[in-house]
Amino acid sequence: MAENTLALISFVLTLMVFSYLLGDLPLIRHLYRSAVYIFIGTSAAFTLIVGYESLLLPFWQDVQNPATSWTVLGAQADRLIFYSALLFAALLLLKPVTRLGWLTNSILAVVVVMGAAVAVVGALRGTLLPLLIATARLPTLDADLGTLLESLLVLLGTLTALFSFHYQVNASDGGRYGLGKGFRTIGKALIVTALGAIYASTILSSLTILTERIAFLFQYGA
Amino acid sequence: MNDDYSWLEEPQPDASQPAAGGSVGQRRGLRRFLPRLRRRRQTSQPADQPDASQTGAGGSVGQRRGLRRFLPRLRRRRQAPQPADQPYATAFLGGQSERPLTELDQRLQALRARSLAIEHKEEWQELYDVDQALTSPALQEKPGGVISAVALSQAQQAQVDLLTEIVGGQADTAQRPAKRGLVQRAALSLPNIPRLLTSALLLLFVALPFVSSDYAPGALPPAEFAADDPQAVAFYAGLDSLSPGDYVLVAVEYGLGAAAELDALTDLALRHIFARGGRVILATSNPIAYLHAQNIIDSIRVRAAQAGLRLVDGLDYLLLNYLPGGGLGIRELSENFADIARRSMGDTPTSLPIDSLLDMKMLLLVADSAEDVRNWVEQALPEAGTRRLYAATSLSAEPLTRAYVAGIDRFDGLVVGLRAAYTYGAMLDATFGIDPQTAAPATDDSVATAPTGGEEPGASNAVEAKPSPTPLPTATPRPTHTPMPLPTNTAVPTPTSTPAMLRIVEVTSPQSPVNIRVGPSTAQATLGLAYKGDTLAVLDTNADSSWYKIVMSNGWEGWISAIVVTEGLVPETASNGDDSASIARERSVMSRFYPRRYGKTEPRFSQANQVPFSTRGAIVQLRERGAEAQRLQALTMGTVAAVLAIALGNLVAAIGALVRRG
Repeated sequence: MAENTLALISFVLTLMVFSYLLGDLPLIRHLYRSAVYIFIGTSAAFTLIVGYESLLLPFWQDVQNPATSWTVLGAQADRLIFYSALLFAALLLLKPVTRLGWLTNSILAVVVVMGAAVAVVGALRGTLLPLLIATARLPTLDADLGTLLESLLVLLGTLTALFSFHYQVNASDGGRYGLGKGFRTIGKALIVTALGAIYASTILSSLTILTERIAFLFQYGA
Repeated sequence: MNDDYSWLEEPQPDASQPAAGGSVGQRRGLRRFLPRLRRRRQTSQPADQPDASQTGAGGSVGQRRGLRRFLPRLRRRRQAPQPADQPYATAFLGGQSERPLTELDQRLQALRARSLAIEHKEEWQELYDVDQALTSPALQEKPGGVISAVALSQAQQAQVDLLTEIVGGQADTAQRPAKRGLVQRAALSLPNIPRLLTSALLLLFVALPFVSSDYAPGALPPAEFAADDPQAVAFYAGLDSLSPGDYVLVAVEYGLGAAAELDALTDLALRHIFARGGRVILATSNPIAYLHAQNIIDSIRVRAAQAGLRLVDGLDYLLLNYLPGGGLGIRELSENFADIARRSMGDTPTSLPIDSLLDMKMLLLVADSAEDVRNWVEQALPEAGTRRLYAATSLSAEPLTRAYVAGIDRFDGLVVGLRAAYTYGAMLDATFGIDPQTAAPATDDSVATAPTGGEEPGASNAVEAKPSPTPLPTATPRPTHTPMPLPTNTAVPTPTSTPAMLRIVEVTSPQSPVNIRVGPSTAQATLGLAYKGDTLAVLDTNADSSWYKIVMSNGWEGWISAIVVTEGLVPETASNGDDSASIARERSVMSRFYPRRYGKTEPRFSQANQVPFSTRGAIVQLRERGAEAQRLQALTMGTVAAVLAIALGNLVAAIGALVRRG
C-alpha cells in the first residue's frame, strides 16, 4: 500500500516536471514550479535530517560519554571543542542581522581558510605531485609506436591549448599569420572539441535520466 | 544650469588632444577622480564643523572617515521628507544627496568628449542603428507591439507615474494597457513551438523501445568489457580479485540527477564485493548520496534475507556518518578513520578490525562529477598508502575524470554510465554461473529457491571453485596493527527447503530493560540492553542453563540471564525476515538496545543472528533485472533524436541567417 502510494506520488511528480515542455502557460507553469519546490524542500529536509542524525547527535552522544574521546586532549577538551563548534554554527544564523554580519563573516573566514589550506595541501599531494611524476615517466623512444604517438598528441594538445590563451598580439605580424597563429588555432580547436565532448556527455546523462523516467511511467502504467 | 548646448555640435578640441605628461587613461582617471575628491571633501566638512584631519583631534584616520560618512547620512535621515519640488528624482525617492545640477553640463560635455575620442570601427555600425531600431513600429505602443506586451505590476506602474510626474510629464493612465484577462495572458504565453516539437520528437523516440521491441535499434552492449577499454577491464578485475574478509571503502558521491546511471553501478559493485566475500565501508560527503547508499544497501540486505542470506550491519557493511564540508570531511575521514567508524557504530567501539584507510584493500568511488573524484584523489588517496582507487562515474563526469585520472599512478579502473552497468551485470552473471539467456527478473518465487549458504568466510563454494581472476599488481602488504579482537562467529546450518527452527529467547521480565553481559555472570560487564518483548537468537547455554549465549548482528556474542527470558522456537525463514513486518519489527527491536543512541533505527542487533555473510554468488542473482535492455535501447533512440534535433535546429538557423542576408 505504501509502495503504491509512493509510486503514485512519483508518477504525478514526474508528470508535473514534464509539464515544463508545454511552456510558460498560466496554471501549467505552476505544476513544474511546484515540483521543483517540492524537490528543493525535500532535499533540504533530507539534508537537515541526515545532518542531525548522522552528525550532530553522534557528536552530542560522544561528548556525553566520558569513556570516549576523539582527541588526545581528553573528554573535557572534546566537550569544549564541541560546544565551540555549536556556538560557531549558531553564529552563522546571524547572517541576516546586518550589524552582526562581521561575526558570521569571521566564522566563514575560518571555514574558507581551513578549506583553502586543506585544498592546497591536497592538490599538492594528490594532483600536482602525481601528475609531475607521471609526466616524468614519458615513454622512451623504444616504446611502441602507438604509445609514442599518444604521448606526442598529449604534448601537442597541452602546448597548443595553453598557447591559445596567449592573447598578446605579435607586433611584427599583427598576430594574423605565423606559427603562433597556427598554434593558437590548433589549441582552440582542441578546446572546442573538449567542450563539445563534455556537452555531449552531459546530454547523454540527461537522456539516461529521461529513459529512467519514461521506463518508470511505462512500468507504472502497466 | 547652462542652456548652451553648442558643445554637442562640435567636439571639444582639447578633450581629444593628448595633454603633456601621462597616458590618456591616466588623465581620464585623474579628471574623474579629482573633482570627486573635491566634492567629497566639501560635502563631508560642513562649515560649522572643524575638519578633524586638520585639527588632528582624536581618532584614527579610519574613524574620522567613518564619522565623515556617517554623520551626514544620519543628518539626512533625520531631516523631514523632501519637498515635492525637489529637483532630483533619485534624491526625492531615496532621500539621498545628488551631485549639483550645475555640474551636469560639464559632465555631459566630458562624456561626449570621451565618446568622440573613441575610434570608430565599421563593425560597430550595428550599434549606431540602435536609435532606428528603437523607433521602429514594432516597438510602438500598439496592440501586438513590444511596449504593450510589457506588463508592470501596480507598484512598478506607480513608480513610473511618480517619475513621470517628477520630470515634468503627466502620468497618462489612459494610454496604459488595460489589464489582460486570462485568455489574453494565455495567448501571450503560447507554448514555445520549437521546444514543444523537439520535446515531442525526443519523447517519441525514447518511448518507442518500451512500446515495442521492433523499434529497438542497434545492438546491446557486449557481454564483456572490450579489450580496448583497459580501464573498464581493470575495474572488473580489481573487484574480482578481492578475497573473503577484505575491506573496501566505497565512496558514494552522487545526487538525484545521476541516480539513474549510478544506482545501477553502485548496486552491482556492492554485490560484486559481497559475492567475493568482501566487506564494505560506505562513506559520503553528500547527504543525498547518504540516503542513496542507505537505500541500496538496505535493498541488497532485504533481498538477501529473502533467500536466507544475512548481511550484518557493522560486520559485513558499515555506513559511515555523513562527512560534512566536502574536501574537509574527506580529509577528516582519512586522518580519523577509526574515530568516525566508532561514532558511526553508536556509542560502543566498533567490532570492525579497521583503524585507518590502510586497512582497506582498495577504494571505490562512485561519483557524478570530476570534482568529487579530484577531492577523493587529493584528500584520501595520499593517506591510503599503496591502496588503489577504482571509480564509476556518470557520462557527464567522464571526459574530465578520464583526463584527470590518466596521470594518477594508483588509479586503476573506471566504468561509466548505464552501458557499462549492463556489461558489468552480464559479466557478473557469467562469473557467478548465471546464464544470461535464462536469467529472469528476480521475483519472490525465484529468490525463495535461490542457493543459500552459511559457510564461514573463505569456505569453498561454487564461486571459489571458479578459476581465480588474474590478480592486479599487488599492493604492499597491509601494515600490521592491533585491532579490536573480532568476536568469534558460529556457523549456522544452511537453510534447507524445509524451514529450520531457530532457538530464541524472549525477554519477559517485567523489570525491563535487562542487561546483556560479556559473560554468564552478573559480575561481568554489561554489553547492551534488552527490553520486554525483544527476541534474541540463542547460540548456547552455560553448564547449568542459567544463562543463554546470544549473538548480536555486529558479530558480538553476549549472555543474558535465563531468569529474565523465556525460551522458544521459531521458523528460521520467518525470523529471517522476508516481509516488511518482520523487518520493521527487527528495526524496532534493534533501536532499543541502545537507548542512548538518539533513536536511530538501524539494526544493531538481530533476533535471528547468523554468521556473517561471506562469499555468496547468489547475491548477484538476487538483483533486479528489469528494463535494462529497454532503457539502453531508449538511450540509443534518444541519442539519435537529440542528434536529429540539433542538426535540424542548426539547419533552420543557417537557412534563416541566409534569408536575412538576402
